[in-house]
Amino acid sequence: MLQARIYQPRREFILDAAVELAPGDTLPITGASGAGKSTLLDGIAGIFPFTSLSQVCWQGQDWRRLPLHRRPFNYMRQNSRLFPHLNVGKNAVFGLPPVRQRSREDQEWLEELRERLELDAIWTAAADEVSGGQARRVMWARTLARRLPLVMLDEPFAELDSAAAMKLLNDLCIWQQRWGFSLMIVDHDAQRLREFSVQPRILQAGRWV
Amino acid sequence: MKARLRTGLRRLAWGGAGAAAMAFFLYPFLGLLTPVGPWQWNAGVPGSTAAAVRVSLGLTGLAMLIVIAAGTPLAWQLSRQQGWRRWLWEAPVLLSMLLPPLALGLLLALSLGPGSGLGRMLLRLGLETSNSRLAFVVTQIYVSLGYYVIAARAAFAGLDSEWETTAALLGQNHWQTFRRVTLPLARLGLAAALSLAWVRALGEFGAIVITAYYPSGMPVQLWINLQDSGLPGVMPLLVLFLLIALPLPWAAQILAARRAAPRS
Repeated sequence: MLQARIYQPRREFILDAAVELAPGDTLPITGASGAGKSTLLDGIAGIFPFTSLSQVCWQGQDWRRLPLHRRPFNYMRQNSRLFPHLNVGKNAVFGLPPVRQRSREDQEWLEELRERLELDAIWTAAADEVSGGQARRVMWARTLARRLPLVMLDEPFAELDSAAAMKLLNDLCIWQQRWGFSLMIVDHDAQRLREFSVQPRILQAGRWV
Repeated sequence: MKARLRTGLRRLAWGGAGAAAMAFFLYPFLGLLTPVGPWQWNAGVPGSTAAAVRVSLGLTGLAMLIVIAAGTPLAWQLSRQQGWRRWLWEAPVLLSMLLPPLALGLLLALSLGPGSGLGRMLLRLGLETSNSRLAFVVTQIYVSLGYYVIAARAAFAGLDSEWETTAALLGQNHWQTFRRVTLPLARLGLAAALSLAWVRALGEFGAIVITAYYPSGMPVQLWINLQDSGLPGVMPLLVLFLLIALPLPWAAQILAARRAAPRS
């Protein structure tokens, strides 16, 4: 269970939003540009130091006491990029242990991601040789390769055409059912988020509408 | 037509400026062609040239390993400091570079030599701090560390902190992030920093001549040869020095550039 309240002053407004998310549940978030959607996810992840009024608890554990790299979530930020010194394959497996230490389940999951995200053809390409849409798919693989109980995706369909986006959305729902992770997904396209069984919540000037 | 002419003229101007700069850098080397009489390879002392080369290469190599090991974390730390903290941390580094080498040699001899408390203590442990390999290496580290740190700091500071955040979000701790992301991305800048430190240390004369006249490295040997045999004793060592000093900076840059563009 995720219980969070993020209080983060911004130039135009103060983000003050509470989130509760049970294991396996989905929270689709939408809102206009600059409404605080990315700040909310960054706040929950704790990328910037938590303000004194912010609080993030996961399964009763306070994330203030956990360093960033130990917090159990996968997070694809809106401005994520591929590491320029690594090729596509090395980017995709960046968060995984070396091959020899990988479980069979991890390896099979990686193979599935590789196939579903159509990465085979570009697996050995340099990071700067792939298109924006391809890079986005590599980021999907990089984010999801580690199977963690909370997944946060910020504008994950950016640079993807609508058909590819719908396919990924369907895959995401299937993967969520299979792995049972909680999902927070931010998309400016409210229509697309209606594909989820849960109504998207709207953030406006730092508050839930 | 006019545009092409303008482009041609611009290229010519840039090319001319570049060629003039190159000519300026290379001009002093014309001195090597000066007829100074037959070159003397050992300037009267058999084996002195080979010994100087051995001392310079071996001990400077050792000094560089220590400079990299000590300077890299310090440079990273400096690159993460802001405002007055940065100035405070950087002041001692800059101070080590500001002093004239001769003055620095005198200070090192006074503070580390056998007359100093630390020097006496080390001497009791069997470590000579004057005219010894230890004095040579310590002096080289002191004169080159600042150059390495300042250049490496710039290399680290030029990196977008977003890369380190991304690595942490993918479960990498500080050390893994540094090893897998920060170091490889700063590689070209670090290679330049190492080149700078290497040429600074290898060519050091002013401080070394005070602290470690023996074992004579190449710059001190040049001085000895000049005194003993004049220019004919200097020229061969000068050519050797150039041949020895250049490969490491080149190799470092080539290696870093190759690794910075992965195609595996």
